Amino acid sequence: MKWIDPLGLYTEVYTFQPVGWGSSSFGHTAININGTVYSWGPNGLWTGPAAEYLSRNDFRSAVGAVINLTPQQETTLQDFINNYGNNNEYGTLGSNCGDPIEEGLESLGFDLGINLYPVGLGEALEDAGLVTDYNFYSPNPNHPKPNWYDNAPWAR
Amino acid sequence: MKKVLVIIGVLIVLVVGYFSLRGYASWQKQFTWEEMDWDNNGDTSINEFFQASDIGVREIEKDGKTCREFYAYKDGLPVKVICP
Repeated sequence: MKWIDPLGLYTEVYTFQPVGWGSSSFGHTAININGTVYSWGPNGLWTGPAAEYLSRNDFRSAVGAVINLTPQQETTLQDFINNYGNNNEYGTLGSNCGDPIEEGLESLGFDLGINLYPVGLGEALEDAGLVTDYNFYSPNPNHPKPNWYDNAPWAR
Repeated sequence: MKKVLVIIGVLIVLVVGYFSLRGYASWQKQFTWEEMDWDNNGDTSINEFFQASDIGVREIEKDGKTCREFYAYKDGLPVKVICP
């Protein structure tokens, strides 16, 4: 329950493990702002409680990068992501899961470069000096272990 | 010319290999053809068959029934729910 902060100051960027053979084989990224997760995907923007989102994704591991933002920056980023779907449609290359977070942080003045994959965005956050802490989320052991053919060779 | 043919050959092998393995992964899911109608349009396309490799299934409780929820590996969100 680390994402509940009494001061309402908590932002964590999740990088989910790549699985499968299609776009999911490059992983996924989503952001938790004060307990609400924003996830940009093929069906648009999903928002909901962080606990629910992590539970839905417990079939794989994830890394959460806690980033240091001021309340004003959090609000601006939240507004940017909420409005992202008004001007964009999801695309694997042009407007993928990391773009609302990346573009939102860049609008705040952070230089994150060009990142095609979620892992690249996670590394860019570290390089930009934004990360204050990491959380590691293990997959639920009740899920069966993947077979050799379940994931593409690059999804490791 | 020979170099071009080799490059084309390698590309063909990669594409065929990719779809063979992805198709095998989809087939091993053991979803029925009806279940793989992800857009619920009454027809399962070959594209939807390949998409099955990126979809998992879990049991959920809905209206007092045990249902099967199919979810996307991409974001963990539901694609469709089938209840008995």
